[in-house]
Amino acid sequence: MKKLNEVFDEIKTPDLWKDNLYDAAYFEKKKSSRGIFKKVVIATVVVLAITACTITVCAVTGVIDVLPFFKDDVKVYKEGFKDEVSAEKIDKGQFQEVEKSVETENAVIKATKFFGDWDECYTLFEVTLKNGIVAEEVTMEILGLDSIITDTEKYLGDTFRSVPVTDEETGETVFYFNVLNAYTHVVTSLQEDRDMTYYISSLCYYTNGIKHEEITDTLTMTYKPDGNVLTDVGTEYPQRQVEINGVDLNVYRVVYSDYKMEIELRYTLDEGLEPSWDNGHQIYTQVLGIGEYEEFRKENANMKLFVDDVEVDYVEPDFNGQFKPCSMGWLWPEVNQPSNEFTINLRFDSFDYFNAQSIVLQITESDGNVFNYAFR
Amino acid sequence: MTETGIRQLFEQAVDTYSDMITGLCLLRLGNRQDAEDCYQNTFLKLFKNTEMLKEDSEYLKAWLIRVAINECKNRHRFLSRNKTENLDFINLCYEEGEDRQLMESIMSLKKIYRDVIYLHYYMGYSVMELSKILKARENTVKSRLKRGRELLKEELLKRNCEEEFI
Repeated sequence: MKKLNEVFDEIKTPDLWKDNLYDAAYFEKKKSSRGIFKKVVIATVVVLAITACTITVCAVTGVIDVLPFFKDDVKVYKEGFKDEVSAEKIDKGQFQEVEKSVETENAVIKATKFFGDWDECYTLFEVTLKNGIVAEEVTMEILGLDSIITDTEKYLGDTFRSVPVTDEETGETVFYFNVLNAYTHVVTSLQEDRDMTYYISSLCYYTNGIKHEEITDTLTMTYKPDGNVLTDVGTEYPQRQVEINGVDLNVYRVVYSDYKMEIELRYTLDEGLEPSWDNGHQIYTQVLGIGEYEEFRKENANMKLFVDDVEVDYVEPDFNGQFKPCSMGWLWPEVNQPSNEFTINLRFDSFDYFNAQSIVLQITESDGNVFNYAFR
Repeated sequence: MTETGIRQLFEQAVDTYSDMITGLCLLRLGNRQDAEDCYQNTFLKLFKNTEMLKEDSEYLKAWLIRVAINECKNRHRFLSRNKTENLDFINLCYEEGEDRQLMESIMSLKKIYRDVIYLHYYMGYSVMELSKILKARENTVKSRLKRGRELLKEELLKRNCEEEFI
């Protein structure tokens, strides 16, 4: 039998591919992309992280320090997820008790709490392993959708890491998951008084560094979220224009919440430019004054926020890396209909926006020009 | 560098690395149409990044692999979640027989296992080199190699093929 080497040796580039490549390179004609693109809708703004983990990859992190405070959700958030805001909401009782669970051969998955605000809300899940299995880590791929959605194939879940907490007396470990809910789906289900359905497509546990996949078919879990537990946010739509590094931007939306202040800037590709991730990203890097493959770093950011003349820091990425200090989004208003509109989302630490006298974004352009954009 | 010089370097790079990138894209995506798009996007990025053309060969090779994998990931992100892949390249490249069965077995693995098997056993990258290229921890790479090998052996056993494929 042939070996791998010989089998892979059979793969050769067809001459036509090279011809097409040279045509595209030398005559600036790009071969049009074919294939079927399906939409992933997280909100009216689609946020796609450039370097985000592939959705189906589970990371093996080796042995994780397990936390000793068993069944204390406030401490789990404070010391496990490093999320003081969520810890405070739970401590104050600003949550809905959710008692839903599903079981597999080796695991029990429970949804226990729903909480957050009207911009960012979470469901706390707990996973325990059965049959004496002791694992270093558990990860889960899950997505919550408005229960009216039936065509679920086009939606992709996110992979969440867990915080393990062990009872020192019994040795039992619970793996906690802080699952961010998809904004659009939560809001519509709340407004229409419908359930949310959660699709769990993967559950992996790791023993001695070896990954075990627990689920072969997607599991579902349904409950009705209670909007009364969600805290308010302040939202403004400045709808003003600003030019940064030669790019015209619309200061579209600002959200002030307990979790963060988020500024959403929108830009449109020039006519004649194909709506594509690459073209959108090129403008994104131009606005931020960074290189094509360079990641945003808050230390070098060309935009800084000052509230009452005191600088407010960019957020730290959250435990699951879903809220980064700066990210790019691509607007898809309809299924299979990418627009030529993109967003840049800047996220800063929360502050008392109600009482702030001045809120100013200081912008330094690539040519050294510095100017201020005042929100207040 | 003159335009002629750029083209020469570019075409040398294409000649040298074309089959490698073709293999990676086909293994990742399964069908020739999507693989060709990602193959083209990878080399067009090289063409636009003339500084990379001057880099030493190992650095350039690792860069091309990273770009190709990212192109394939971006393409896959927008494809429908269809569990059945279109594996037309196998039908076109391999006649019925044991090597076709080996390739079919490889394609039955998840993408993360196909990558490491191709890059380690065929391209000869060490675990340490792979951890840098794939931006994954060494333990992760080792686990993927081990699991990928195990799954491939199981698949070959099911097909009554020889298990020793390295």
